[in-house]
Amino acid sequence: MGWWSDKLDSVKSGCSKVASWVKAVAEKGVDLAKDAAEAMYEGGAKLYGRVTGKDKYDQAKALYEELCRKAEEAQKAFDEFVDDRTREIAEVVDRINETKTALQEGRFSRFVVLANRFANWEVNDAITLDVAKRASNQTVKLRARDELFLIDFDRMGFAKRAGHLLFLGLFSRKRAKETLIKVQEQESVLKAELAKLDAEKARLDVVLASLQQIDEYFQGLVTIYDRLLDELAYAVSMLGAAYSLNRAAPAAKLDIYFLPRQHLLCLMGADKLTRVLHQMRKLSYLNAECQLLEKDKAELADAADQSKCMAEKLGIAA
Amino acid sequence: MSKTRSTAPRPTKTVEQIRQELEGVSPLALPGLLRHYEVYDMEDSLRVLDRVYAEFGDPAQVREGIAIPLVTSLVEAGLRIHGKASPNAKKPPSWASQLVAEIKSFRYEDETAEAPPGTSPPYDARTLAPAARRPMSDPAYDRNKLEDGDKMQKYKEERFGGQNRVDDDFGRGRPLRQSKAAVAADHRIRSDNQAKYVATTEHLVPLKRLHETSVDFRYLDDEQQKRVANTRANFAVIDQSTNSEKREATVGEYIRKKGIGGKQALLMRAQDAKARVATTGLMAWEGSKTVAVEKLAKTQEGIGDLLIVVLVPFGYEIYDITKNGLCPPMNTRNPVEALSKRLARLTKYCIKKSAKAIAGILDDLLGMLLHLAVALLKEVLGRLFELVRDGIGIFVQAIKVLCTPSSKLSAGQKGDALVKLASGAVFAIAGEKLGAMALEALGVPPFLSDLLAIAISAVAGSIFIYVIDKIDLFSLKSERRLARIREIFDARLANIRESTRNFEVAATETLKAQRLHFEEMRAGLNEALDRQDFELLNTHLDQIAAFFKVDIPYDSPEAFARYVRDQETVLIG
Repeated sequence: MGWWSDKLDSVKSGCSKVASWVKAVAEKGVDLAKDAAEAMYEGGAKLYGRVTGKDKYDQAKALYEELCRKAEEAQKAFDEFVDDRTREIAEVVDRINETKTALQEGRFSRFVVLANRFANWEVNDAITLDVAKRASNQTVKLRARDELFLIDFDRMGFAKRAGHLLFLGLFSRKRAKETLIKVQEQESVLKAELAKLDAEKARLDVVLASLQQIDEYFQGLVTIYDRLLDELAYAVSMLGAAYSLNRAAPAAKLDIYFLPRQHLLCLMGADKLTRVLHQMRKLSYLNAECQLLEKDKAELADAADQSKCMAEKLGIAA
Repeated sequence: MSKTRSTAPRPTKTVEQIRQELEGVSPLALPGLLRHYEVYDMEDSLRVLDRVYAEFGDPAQVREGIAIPLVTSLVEAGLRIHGKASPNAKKPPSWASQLVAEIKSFRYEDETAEAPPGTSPPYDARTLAPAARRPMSDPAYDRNKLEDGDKMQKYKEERFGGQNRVDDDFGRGRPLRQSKAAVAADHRIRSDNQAKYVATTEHLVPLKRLHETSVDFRYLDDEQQKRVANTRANFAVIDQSTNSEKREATVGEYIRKKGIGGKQALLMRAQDAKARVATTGLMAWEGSKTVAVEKLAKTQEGIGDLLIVVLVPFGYEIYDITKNGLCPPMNTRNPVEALSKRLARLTKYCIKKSAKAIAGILDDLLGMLLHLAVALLKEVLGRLFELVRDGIGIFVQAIKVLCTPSSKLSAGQKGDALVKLASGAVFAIAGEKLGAMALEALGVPPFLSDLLAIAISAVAGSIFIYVIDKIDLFSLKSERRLARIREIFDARLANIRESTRNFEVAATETLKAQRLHFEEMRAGLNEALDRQDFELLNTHLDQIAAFFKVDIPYDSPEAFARYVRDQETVLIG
């Protein structure tokens, strides 16, 4: 039993060694065969690519995908930036609109009541309230794939592929190269488009800053206006008291000609600031055309005046 | 053709320019302006791309692409013919390009009185150096230049033909010995009489007379005169003594001087007549050859000049047809009529400009054809040599192209260059050399076959190159377009970045300046209110109104009071 079992064990271990060796050799052989097949496949694919122009097509495809990815990422980042800026602009615009509304309802009415003690005063209630829309709609535009790819090896049947190989790429290589060049052109386009996005970001930053500045102008001037109206109210009450001491019946209006200089200057200052604030209230801050129209009108009036003066100087009848 | 916008970006505004624009605007208008301000050239990039494509597909450019090579080929062909015609003419290397530029700017005289400014001066055939002429014969007679001792000696030896004695050619019946030694060896001859037995070779027509006669054939040079004088027919073997007596006298003069008569005189005169006919004939032949060559040179020079005269308007017609079409420039829709008009004006121009040259050519045509017929064989052999030489030249050029670094020439450009080089060589060799040979074999005169073959090969070569360009085997056109697009977009990119930077700087500085100004005014207003100083308050309010560009209808308290009183209702807004 002992001898047989020893022999049996040694035979078994020998067999298992042989089996493992055979297995290792077989595995190595399979690996080698796989490597060889892969190398052959790669070599063949490379040759096929060179002959038919598929290598250029692959380059074009990879580049186009890269460009699309970059464009998409840039557009996404830009959209997020625009959303942020639009929200901030909307907040500022809302504050300006609130100030504009509050001016008419409270301060201008108070000024009219006070000023009406001297003459008939009216403040036009024209008001322009801005609406903050999306701050920029700039988009990155690239040509669609179908416009660029003159040949598509991915959607090509076996017969057509074989045909291109058979004709040594006579009908495919040039189209593949053209495709690559067209995609490379889009690379230049993308660079310019990304620079435009940066420019738009810079623009939105300064637009926001300028609107914030307008808001601060409003707040600063409104505070001063309130103080000035208080001074005017004090002057009116002082004058009213003085009149009532001198006359039996109170007058409907206080004659502006007999106003003490200090009170006249106060009324004049209030009138001036009302005019400034009214102008600020009337304007739209997000619409350039309105501003330019006003500016153009003033320039046109100036030009007309100048031509009139010139005509008079030269003695030309209008 | 409609004018399209340039692909170049608009010029970048400087910070100062932008700041000036912004400063002129009310601070209240600034946000709106900044929002719509054209920070950079905002034209759509894809539209710019489309314009570059249109630029490359412009039919006028395509036509220009074929017109220029075609005209250049013809000009080069013409110049090569001209070079053959006037080998000594100095040709600056810029001729071809100068002529092409001239063709491009060429106008018929009735189209414009003056040449367009900036064009090169018209070609002047006189700038060519005159064709080399053969040296004229030396007017001074020099016997040594004309005597050919070797021939004379050879003639004498032939006359003796291995014999010891020979009868003299003047029929004196005196047996002559070949040399003095032979005479001295003959003891029968006295020593003082030996000169009468020594043979010498005599020129029957004396050299001096021949030289004088050659004046009638003024193109004969010394070499030709020597050839004529030493012809066998002019030789006679006579004794040394007679030779010394005769000297430069003619045979007739010698007969008269010596009073020779009878049979001997007849024989001598017969010899003389034979010599005179031979030398005169030979002289005429040599002279006519010289005349023919001289005329040929003149004629070829004329053809070369004529060629230039014809080449410019001819090249212009081809250029104009390919660029602007056959009919439109001639104000007609009928192609036949347009072609007739073009031919008519071309012919009129050429006749006017080249009447003298044509007359000269016709005058010399006969002699030239004769000469060219003789030179045909030599020409064919020369062509074969040129063919081999050109082939080697093309091979060397091809090697140069292949060795050019990839940074300078792409693979596509190299391929294209090689294809064009090879095709150009085929057309040059097959069309020009072999074509000329074929045309000559068909009986077309060499100068015409040259012209036709070069013109045909130039036109065919240009058309072939055009087709190659059209097929664009190596996508060179696309490569050029890509390079152009990169150039344009790089410029646009730089423009956008710089414009954006300038805009940011100018806008920020303007906002900052406005803010500072406002804060100063606000502080002034608060201070005035604190001090109850309404004069100061109004001063600051005027500044505020001016800052926001708001009109105040009065400028003083008095004016304000008047204004208020004058209004039934003071309306603000």
